[in-house]
Amino acid sequence: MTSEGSMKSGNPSVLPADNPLLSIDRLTVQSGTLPVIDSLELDVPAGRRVAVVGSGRGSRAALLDAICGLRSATSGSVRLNGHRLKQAFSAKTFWGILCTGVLVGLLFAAAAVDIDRLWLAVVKRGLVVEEPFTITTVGKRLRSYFRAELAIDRLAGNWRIVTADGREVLAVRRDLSEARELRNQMQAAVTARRIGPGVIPDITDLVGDANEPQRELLLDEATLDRLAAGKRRIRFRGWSAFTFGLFLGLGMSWTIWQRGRRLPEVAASAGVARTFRVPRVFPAMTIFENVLVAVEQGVRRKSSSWWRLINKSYCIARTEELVRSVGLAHQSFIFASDLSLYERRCLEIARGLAMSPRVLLVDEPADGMVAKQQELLANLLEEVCGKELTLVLTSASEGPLTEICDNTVSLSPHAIE
Amino acid sequence: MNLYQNFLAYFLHCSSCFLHWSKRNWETPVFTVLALAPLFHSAFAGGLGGQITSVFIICIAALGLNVMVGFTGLLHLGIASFFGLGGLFLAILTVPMNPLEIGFLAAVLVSVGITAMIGTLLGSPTLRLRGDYLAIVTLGFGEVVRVLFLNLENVTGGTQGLGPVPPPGFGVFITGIDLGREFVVDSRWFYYLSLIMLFFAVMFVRILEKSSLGRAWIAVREEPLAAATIGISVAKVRLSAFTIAAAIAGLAGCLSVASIGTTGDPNAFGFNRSVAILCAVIIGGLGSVPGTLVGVTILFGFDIVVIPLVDAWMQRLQSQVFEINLFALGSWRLALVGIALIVVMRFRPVGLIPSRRFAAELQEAQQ
Repeated sequence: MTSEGSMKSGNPSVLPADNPLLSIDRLTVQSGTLPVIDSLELDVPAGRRVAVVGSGRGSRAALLDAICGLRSATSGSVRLNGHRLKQAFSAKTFWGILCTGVLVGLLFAAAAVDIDRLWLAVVKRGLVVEEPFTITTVGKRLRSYFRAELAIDRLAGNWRIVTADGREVLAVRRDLSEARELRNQMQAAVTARRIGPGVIPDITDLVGDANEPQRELLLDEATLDRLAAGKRRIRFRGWSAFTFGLFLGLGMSWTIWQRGRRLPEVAASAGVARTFRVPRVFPAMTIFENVLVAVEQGVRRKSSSWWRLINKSYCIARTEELVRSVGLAHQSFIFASDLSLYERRCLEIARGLAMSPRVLLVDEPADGMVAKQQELLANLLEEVCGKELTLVLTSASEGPLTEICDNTVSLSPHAIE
Repeated sequence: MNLYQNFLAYFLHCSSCFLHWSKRNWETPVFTVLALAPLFHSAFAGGLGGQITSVFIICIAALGLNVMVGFTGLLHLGIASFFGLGGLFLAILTVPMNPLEIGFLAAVLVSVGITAMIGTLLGSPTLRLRGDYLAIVTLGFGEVVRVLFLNLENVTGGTQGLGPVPPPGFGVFITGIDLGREFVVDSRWFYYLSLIMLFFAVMFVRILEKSSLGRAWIAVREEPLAAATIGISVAKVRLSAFTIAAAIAGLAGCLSVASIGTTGDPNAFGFNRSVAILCAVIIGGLGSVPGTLVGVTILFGFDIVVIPLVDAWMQRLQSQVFEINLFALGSWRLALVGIALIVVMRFRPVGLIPSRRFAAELQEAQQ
C-alpha cells in the first residue's frame, strides 16, 4: 500500500504492493547529460491517488512525460498492470515491414532495369508488330526483356532488329518475314556465344553507296560478346538493386516502427490519460467537440470489428455527461479559445476522462489557480475520479489538491555534481 | 447504427438539406444556378462552357488540397503532381495507343485508386516531418514527377503527352445518340459531368469534416501532442489526409485530361500550378469549403474566363477607336493576381470566407 519515490541510485526501495497498477522500475530520464530523474522506483496500486511533490518542476513533468510516452526514458521501465507501455511485435508488424521492404526493392529494381525501356519492350513493341495482348504474349515479351534477347521493331515502314531495350539497332530489313529470319539467326548465335565459344555467323549486310555496295559482317566478335553479356548485365542490375532496396526498405521501416513504439498514443490506448501544466485544449473546436473527439477515440479503440465502427449516439450522450460533470454544460458550444485557465483545466480533465482511462496523470493542477479555484478543482477531481480511477498528480506545494490524495511522494531534490 | 449507415444517413440528410433553403445553406442556390445556367445561354455549348469546366475541375483539386492544408495543417506544395498522375493513369488506361483501352468509369476508379496509393507511399516515410520539412518533401516530389513525365517518354509520351484520350461514353449509344461524339461536340456534357463531380466532392469533404476523422484532423492540426495523449494516432490521421487529398486531386486530373483529350505538356503539372492552387485555397480561407470554391473561382476564373473575354472586348474597342492595339490585359494578369493576393492578405488574413474554426485559432494565437 505504500508508494514512495527514491532518488538514491543504487539503493532503490522495493516496496510490497499486491499487484500495482502502475509500476515504475529504476526509471532514469536525462536532460542532456544530467539526469532529471535518477533511478526512480514507484508503485501505484489500482484506485489510489498519489501526489508527487518536491524537486523541481522539470523533474515532475519529466516523470509524467516518461510515463505517458512523450519523453523517452534513458533507462528503466514503466509498466501498467504488468505490461510495458510499448507496442508489441505482432504478425501485422512483421508483414508490414516485409511488404515495405519488398515494395522498396521492387521500386529500386524497376528503376535499375529501366522502366521506360521495359514499357517499350512489353507494350509498344507488341503494338507495332500487331501481336495480340494476352497474358501469354505479355509474359513472353517480359521474359525476353529480362533475357536481353533481340527483338523486332518498326520505324517508318522498315523493320529493325534491335536489342531488347531498343538502345541498339543491328540491322534493317524491308520485309517482316525476312527480318524475323535474320533475328532468329542472330539470336541463335548470341545464345550459342552465351553458353560456349560459339561461332561467328556469316550474316552480312549491304552497306555503303548504291554504286559501290560493300558487304559487311553484322555480328563481329565484339558485338557478339556484348550482346551475350546483356542477360548477365540486366540480371545483375535488377537483382542487386532489388537486394539493396529490400534491405533499405526493411531497415527504414524497422527503424520507423522502433521509434514509434513508445508514442503517447500507445500509452493512451493502454489507458493512461494526462493533462498538461499549461492546458493544451483544441482552441478551434467547441468544448463539446474537444471532449467528443476523445470519446470517439476511446470507443473506436474498444470496438472489436476491423472497420472500427462507432456508436454515434452513445458518444454524444457520454460527451454530454462528461461536459456536465466538470460544470461546463452551459457553455458547451463555444470555442475553447474563449475559456479561462480554470475552465481549460476542467475541460482537459473531462477530455482525459473521456477515453475511460485507468490512470489519470494531472500535471500541476494548482499552477496559476487561486486558493478558491484549487479547492473547487480538488472537489471536482474527487467527484469525477470516484473510487476506481488511479490518479497521479504533481504539485509544487501542499494544498487542497494534495489533500485529496492518499499518498504523497516526495522527489528529493537532485544534487548536481 | 454503424459507420456505413451513418455515412448514408448523413448523405441523405445533406441531399434533403439541398432542397431546403436557408441562410447558411449556400450549396442549393449556387449549384442550382450553375445547373440551370447552360439552359439559358447558348455560349455554354462552346468555348465558355469549356472554360468554366476547367474552373470546376481546379475547384475539385483545391478541395483535395484543402483537406490537407486546411483541415490537417500540413503544407503541401505538390498537389499538381497528383493532379497530373491521376490524368496520366487515365490516359495510359484509355488511349488507343496502349493495349488496355478500358472504359472511362473503370479507368477513373483505377487511376484514382493508384493515385491514392502513391499518396500513401509518399506520405508514410514523411509523417514524422512537420511544417517546412514536409513542404520541402512535397515540393521535391512534385518536381520528381514532372521530370519523370518528361523522361519516361515511352510511358508518358514525353513533352507531347499521351493522346488522344477518348471522351467519356466513347462507343456508348443511348437511344441513337453517340455519347462519345456528344461529349466532343457539345461542351455542356463536360460541364455537367464536372459539375456533378464537384457536387460529390463538396459533399464528400463536408461529410468527412463532420465525421470523427475530420475532428481528429483538426485536433492533430491544433495540438499534436494533446491529440496523441488522447489516443489519436497522429501518423495515421495525417496519412489519411494525405491519401484523401491525393485521391481527390487525382479525380480532378482524370476529368481534366478527359476534357482536354491529352495529358499535354508535363510542365503544366509543375510547381507553378501547385502554388496557384494553394494561393486560391489561402485567398478563399483555409479549412473552409465555400471559401476554397470562391478562391478558385476568383483566381482561376479571372485567369481562364474573364481575361479572354475582356481582352476580346478591348481588342474590338481599340481597333474601332484607335485602330491599333494598345493594351492587352492578358500580359498583366500575373501582376494583377499578385496584387490581389497582397491586398487580400493585408486586409483579410483569414481569407475571404474564413471557417469559424480558423478564426478561433487565429484569435488564440494573437492572445
